Amino acid sequence: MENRKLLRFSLLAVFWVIFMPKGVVLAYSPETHALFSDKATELYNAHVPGNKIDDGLKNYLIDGSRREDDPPRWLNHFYDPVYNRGLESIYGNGYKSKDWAVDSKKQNDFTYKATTFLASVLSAAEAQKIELVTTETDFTWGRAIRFYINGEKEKAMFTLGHVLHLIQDSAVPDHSRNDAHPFGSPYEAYAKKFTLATGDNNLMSRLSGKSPVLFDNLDAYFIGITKYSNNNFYSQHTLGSESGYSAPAPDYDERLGDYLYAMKKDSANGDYKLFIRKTPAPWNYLISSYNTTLSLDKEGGDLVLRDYWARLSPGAVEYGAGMISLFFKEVEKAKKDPSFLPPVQKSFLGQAIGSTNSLFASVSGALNGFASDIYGLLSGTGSYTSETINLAANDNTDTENNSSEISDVSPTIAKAISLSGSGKTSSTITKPKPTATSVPKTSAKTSALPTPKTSTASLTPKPVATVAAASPTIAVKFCSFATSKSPNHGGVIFNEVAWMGGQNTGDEWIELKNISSEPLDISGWQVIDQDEQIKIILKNGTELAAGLFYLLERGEAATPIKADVLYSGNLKNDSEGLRLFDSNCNLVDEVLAKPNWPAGNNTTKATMERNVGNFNWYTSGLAFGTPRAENSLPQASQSSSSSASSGSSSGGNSGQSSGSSGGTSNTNSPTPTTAPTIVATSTLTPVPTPTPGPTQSPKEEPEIGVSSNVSHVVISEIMVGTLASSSQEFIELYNPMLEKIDLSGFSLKRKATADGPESNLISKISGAFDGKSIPARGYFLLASNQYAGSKNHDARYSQNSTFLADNGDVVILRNANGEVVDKVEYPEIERDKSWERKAWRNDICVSAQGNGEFWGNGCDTDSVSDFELRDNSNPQNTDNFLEPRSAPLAVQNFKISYDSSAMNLVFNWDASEDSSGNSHSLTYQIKDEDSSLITAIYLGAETSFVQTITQIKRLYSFLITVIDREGLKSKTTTAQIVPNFLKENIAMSHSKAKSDLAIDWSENINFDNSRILARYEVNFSETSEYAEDSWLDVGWLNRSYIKHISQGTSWHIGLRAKDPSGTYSKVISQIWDYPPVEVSLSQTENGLLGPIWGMNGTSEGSYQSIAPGQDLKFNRAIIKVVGTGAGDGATLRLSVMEAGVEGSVESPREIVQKVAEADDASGTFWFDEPVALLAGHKYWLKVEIKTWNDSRGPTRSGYQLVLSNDDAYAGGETLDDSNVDWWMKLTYE
Amino acid sequence: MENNITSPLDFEPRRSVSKKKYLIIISSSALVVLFTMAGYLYWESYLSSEAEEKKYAAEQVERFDKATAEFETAMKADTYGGLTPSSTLDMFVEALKKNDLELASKYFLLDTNPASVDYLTRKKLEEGLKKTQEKNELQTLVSKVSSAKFAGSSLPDVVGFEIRNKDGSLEADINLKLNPYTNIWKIESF
Repeated sequence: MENRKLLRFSLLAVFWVIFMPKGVVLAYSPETHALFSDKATELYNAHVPGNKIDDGLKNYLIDGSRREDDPPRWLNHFYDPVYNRGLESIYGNGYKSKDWAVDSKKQNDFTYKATTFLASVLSAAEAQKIELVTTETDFTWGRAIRFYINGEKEKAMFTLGHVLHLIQDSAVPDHSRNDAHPFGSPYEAYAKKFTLATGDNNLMSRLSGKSPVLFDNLDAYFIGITKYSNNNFYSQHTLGSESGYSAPAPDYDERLGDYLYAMKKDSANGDYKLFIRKTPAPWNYLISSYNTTLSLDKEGGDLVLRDYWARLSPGAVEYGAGMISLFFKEVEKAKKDPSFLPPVQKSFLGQAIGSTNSLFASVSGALNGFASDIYGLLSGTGSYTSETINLAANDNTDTENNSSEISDVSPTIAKAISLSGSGKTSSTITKPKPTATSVPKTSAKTSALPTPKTSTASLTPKPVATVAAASPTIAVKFCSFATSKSPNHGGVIFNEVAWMGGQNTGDEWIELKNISSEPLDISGWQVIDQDEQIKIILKNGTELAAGLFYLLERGEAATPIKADVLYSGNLKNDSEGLRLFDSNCNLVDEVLAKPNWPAGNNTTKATMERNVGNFNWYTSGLAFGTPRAENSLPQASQSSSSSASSGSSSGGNSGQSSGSSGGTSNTNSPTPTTAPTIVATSTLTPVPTPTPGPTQSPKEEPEIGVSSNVSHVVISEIMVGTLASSSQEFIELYNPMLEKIDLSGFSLKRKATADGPESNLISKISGAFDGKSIPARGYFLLASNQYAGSKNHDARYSQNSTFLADNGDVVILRNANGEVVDKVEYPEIERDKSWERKAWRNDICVSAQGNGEFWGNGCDTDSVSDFELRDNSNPQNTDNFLEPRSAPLAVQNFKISYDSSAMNLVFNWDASEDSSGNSHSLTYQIKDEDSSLITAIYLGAETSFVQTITQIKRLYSFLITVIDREGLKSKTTTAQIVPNFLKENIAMSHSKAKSDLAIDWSENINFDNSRILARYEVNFSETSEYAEDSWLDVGWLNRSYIKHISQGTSWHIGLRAKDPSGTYSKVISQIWDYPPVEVSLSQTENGLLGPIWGMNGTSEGSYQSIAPGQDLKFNRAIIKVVGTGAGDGATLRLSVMEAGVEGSVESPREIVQKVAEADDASGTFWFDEPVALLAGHKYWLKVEIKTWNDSRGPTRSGYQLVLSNDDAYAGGETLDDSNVDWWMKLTYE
Repeated sequence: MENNITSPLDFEPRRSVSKKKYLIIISSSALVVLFTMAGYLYWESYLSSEAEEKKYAAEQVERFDKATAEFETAMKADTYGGLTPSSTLDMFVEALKKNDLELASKYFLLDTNPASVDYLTRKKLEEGLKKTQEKNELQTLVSKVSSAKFAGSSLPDVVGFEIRNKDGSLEADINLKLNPYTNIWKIESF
């Protein structure tokens, strides 16, 4: 029987491989899903008492997990816990898988209707039991529960299998790191071979001793597994920090055969291979994106993938087993929940509407949305969506993992109940039992992720008096400092630690910082030290705004700044540690002193500060640090401090000792195991000696120091030939002294043995040295006549000179008096390589390569160890820079702006200078902050650069270094930017006629011109502050809004966008003032002019009505009438009358009348007092003329009306249009 | 005085009027219900948040279909190369020998990273080829690729070649991947 089943699976696997369309976005293959589901069931059955899943039911579970990949459902199989999003790609935006798993409405969309694309593994008889289900579309958690309660266990398992599939996919880095991978991924290709038929013996052994991962809500499963996958593994297309993810960063490198592997520490399972670094050959300019890769296309090239599989596959099984356990728990709870009774018949109206929907859908053929209602009616799903589910809310009977430790706890921690998966708020909250045994599991209390402020309102249950009453007796479980987890850096980190105290040793403090882009609810988070004498739990309602700090002080006097929390307990100066846990005891951050703290200085009381870009620690440039303020700038020499999470024991002040190890010793030297291909940025600065103390200068000059132990010119480098020619040789001289040396009369000799005769390389009489000198700390290059290297010689060998021997010679430099200045006996030197004198540094000889490249060649102890072999010769001449010398000045004013129209980052910076004060011949290098993974994005001499990006909404952090022409690098300067996903322009148009202000904006788009889905919100504020509750949601994708405004008002108009994951753009702000009132009226009825003009004084048509939409006032009216001009002697009279009965002109009440005499040719009427017209009222304007000279008729006496029609004012403003007979403008000035 | 009060049954004409009224009422009610339902349907279909979401979902699936179609079109059109990895490398070398960089670059696999600005292009490798020419290293490349030895495979549909120095150390490797839409082997990376 078992064999038959395996055969069936095998055949199906073959079928799948053959017929599956190419290039689809799947994670594990269906048969790998089958393997995971099988093992998850076994693990569940073995460890969880109670409900067991027999083999018969297991088949349904397995089949369900295989069939969730029906297209296009896989679009919703992604969840990125870092950015809290589903798939965002040119392949479309999908729902978050954790939402997809619980949302019937989403799944019921006709778009996602399941197909029979993939054959079932069930027998015909088995399949018959779920026949109706397999072609439906709602395979949600809640529906699985409902099926189970209704006794339809086969359907329940089949549906649960679909959810299990989502958990399994979440373990694939491509799915947790937003990598659409249309052409497949190496990890998935590797995993494909593990099926139910083939099995994986190693997986079995890795699972031995393992048990299901238990959480109390479905969200926690998704968040937990995706965080593990995202934070610890790469997908091929998200290698490196340019992908937008700072983790995982490799901890060290290890060479294995031909390749260098970036390694990650893993205390639980052993260190693992994170990716492979490939070093391009010198001739290879075909640098693809695969300088770092997850796999090699050769035998044994899957070592990284093996390590990935070894960790991710058990994770998928353990989480899956735990999820099954949760399923049965929630089934039990749901049995008591009225909303889970058998489907309620819909009312007549509901059915009628549904039927009409059906009809309408079938007729139109275009309203896919109605299909959900159809399915809902047919299957009974329509009445229970995820919103109605109330499952884990009353999980107060669970006694597992209870802590006997009773402590004060905020009610919120006890009440913050996370509903199963739906993320929806339950309207029912059950009172926790007020006993120690009623302590809910911590993991059930809140989401594993910090809850963004924007969503807390919907997640916080309504306060219930009974809960509050019970709260004093509710216990809280403190997290244990001991954990094998890695920190997830989930939004809040340790930003600064004053472990050394301040004015007094007890003035210790700890600063947290929210490094995310949104406010975070950190209620219930805990800070624990290694001895667990410091145990801080953050109080209820603690929210930390984006970018702000949270200050924990040992005593009120620890800093002059008021603390957010006072705590007790002390931080030791060594062998100590601090860990930050969220309310689920997930490790968020840590810093360990093993035995020394990574940074900080107990002597100067400079605190330990954090670089939020790479999480490295460095010693503050300021004594007593920067509590509740931005950290001081890291000194470049410290920028390679070990990551706190690595637990490196690389240094830190040893506490009481000062100076013994140079104060802080947190500067890492490149270790011997570090491959030369790894280019560090700032650590190559020649003089990396840190200067402890309260200095803070971004322009540090490296210490020049004494460059030699001798005071004469030395022979510094010898090359005896190249592979192409034995006579391509040079000898380099170096002057370590501070004054230049005249070389006139010098000569250069060689001899084959120490006792042999000297022969000339450069004879004195050749005069090759005459008139030449070697600069202080400079070089002088002597070369054979055949030498054709890249550097010009300063002097050539004599015509008849001999050549240096490959296998050893003695080279002698003599001065004008024939005295030996320097003599070098060299051993055999390989062609193309050179024999180079070491540098003199801190009274010892050190390598002149690597860090010592620019320290000169001043080591002279007359020992063979003064020299070292150099793989690539480096001849230097009098044109070369001096050594040692100052590095170029670090770049100043490094600024990045974002041009949203072209999706460009625009970099600008000030020109730097090299040690000689010149700005030319410098090269600027810009790298992403994680320079170990990527090459420079810019390398050039300009002081500006434009980089097109493909992702917005993420933090970009760049380092710029300036390099002099010989390769000496400055310290780095950092700049960061989060490109806004809202285009920074608001177009405004004011309709004075309607008293409306219309604002329009542009949406941002991806590089492929696809739209970024966003809801837009506007805020009209009278000040520059925008109250959070004043934001007005104007809907999805809308890009305009009209506000009715009043005269004389002034607005700060804010606009922001919110993406589907709830991330807000920056606020774009614009100020708008109501312009001076200028209401214009015009009349264009030329045809009516003749018979009425100036003659019909009683006609209604002789009045102009105006009905302001908004209160309006004016004190000036300008009226032009055709034929009325200067010198015409006309007299105009304007009357404003409030309309009479029902807005008619009958019996108007005259408000004001103003006369402008004839010589007021402009027709301007000034009113002494402003005339106020009220919104909602109708007025009549009457303009009359008394005298008039024009061709239409004789001058008249007595006022005649000149307005000829009663067209209600419609806002026309064609003032100078020749077609108008008259116009009138009302203004307020 | 005679009592003229009669039973309601005596008013036959009135009964017919009531029936008419009844029909009118029923018809009117039906119309109201119909309009209400039509209004509801319109709201549900076009104005409700659910309708918005459905529209959104449809838009995403459309994007997915469009992107998938574009991907497949590009891959199907990519027919340059050999039916074996070695023949693709040979073709590449021949094109380089003729200094035909345009042809040589066509043997590269398209960039399949949807997040890359070079997606479905060969821009990065084409630029690398141009740079190779600028640096006068084309002949070196020809020589090196010609000396590449088959290195096997660790995953389906990908194979590698190695170029080694005289001392046996690895100098470079070349990766080829099968384009399943054309069954042609493409050079993926160096």
